[in-house]
Amino acid sequence: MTDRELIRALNKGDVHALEELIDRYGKYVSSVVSRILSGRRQDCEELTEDVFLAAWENRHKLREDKLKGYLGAIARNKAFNRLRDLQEELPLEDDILFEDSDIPCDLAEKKDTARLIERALSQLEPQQKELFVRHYWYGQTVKEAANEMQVNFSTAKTWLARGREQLKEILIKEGYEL
Amino acid sequence: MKNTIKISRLMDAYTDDEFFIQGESEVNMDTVKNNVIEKAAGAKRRIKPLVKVLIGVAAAAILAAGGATAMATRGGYTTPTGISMSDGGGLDYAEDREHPIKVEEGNRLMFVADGQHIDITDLVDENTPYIYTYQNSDGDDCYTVVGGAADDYGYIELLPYKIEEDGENIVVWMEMGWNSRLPEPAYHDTDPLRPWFKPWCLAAFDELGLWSEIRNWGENVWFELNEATRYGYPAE
Repeated sequence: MTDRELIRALNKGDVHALEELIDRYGKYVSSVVSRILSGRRQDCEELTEDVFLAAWENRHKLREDKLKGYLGAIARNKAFNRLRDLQEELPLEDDILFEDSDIPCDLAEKKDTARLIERALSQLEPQQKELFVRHYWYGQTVKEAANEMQVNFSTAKTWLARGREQLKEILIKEGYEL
Repeated sequence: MKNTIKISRLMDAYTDDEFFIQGESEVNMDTVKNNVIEKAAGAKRRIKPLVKVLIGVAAAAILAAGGATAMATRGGYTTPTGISMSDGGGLDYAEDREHPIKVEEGNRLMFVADGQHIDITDLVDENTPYIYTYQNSDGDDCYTVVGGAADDYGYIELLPYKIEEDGENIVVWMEMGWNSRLPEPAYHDTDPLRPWFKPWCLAAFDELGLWSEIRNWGENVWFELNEATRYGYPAE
């Protein structure tokens, strides 16, 4: 069954299609959650369930070409929100982009922000972009990401710094005050 | 007010459609699946085929055949509210459903029952129905079935009513509401003696397991709706 057929079946309210969705993307979704909430099995299971229930409730919004990405985004954001609720953080490299700035703190919720991030990342070489996404989106440590990409650790840190600069530049160009 | 902007927070707006980095998982997926399905399924259940299922058709054909159909107008569309059978029996429709379809700009078919607003244009065609399940006040499953295209769509509501016939309690699947922008939504034509269910309608009966006999009230002509006679031609 293609993703298109799967979404069609989901829209008909077919619960078997939901099972198929879980079989197809469960490992990916649960791994996204598990990396961010490492060591918290119950939280990971609960959030993985929440992701698929959210997909079920919003099944009419699903698109065949964006299905895995959509599920991954819900998983990642739910996991990070849970971490924030627990007042914990992942050890991300220089995660603070601007401190004491006039940029609104709800910038992430704005539609334009996705476009700005895409623009910033498009300025990077493909491997640099991948590293940036692995670290700041998936929450992989720099060491883990560098190992999997077979990149030198120092090079990885340099690439991340480049990504951060790109993002800063784009936000400033868009008129956001520091 | 001054804010601290974190990259990880900004990245909430990002969706990865490219790398899909997959790692180890601590999750028991069998447990997850069982819990999700249980919550999603909720009270949803399939109606099992019963010993005998009749479909009563509220159509202009019934009027011609000697029955009488009470009608009501809701939202500019005419919908049956009950059937009076020529043998003196009758059924009233207890449900009051608004027209479930709106056609919006760009010839998009929007499913709007129960406060929803779902674009089903690409989910239906002449052969493919969109089936929406909901529960009536008794907790029984009811179905709204939509099919066709934006300029030739139709819908039927399938509602279960329990009646006694020949000393036996059976469920009758009453069909109400066939409104469409064109005169013949669910039916091929209005000849009461000919098959009148379009392919998407039959596909819905397939999916719902509603093998049935259609009685033409007053004419006592039996139609078999089964795999052999897909379009309900009179039984030989």
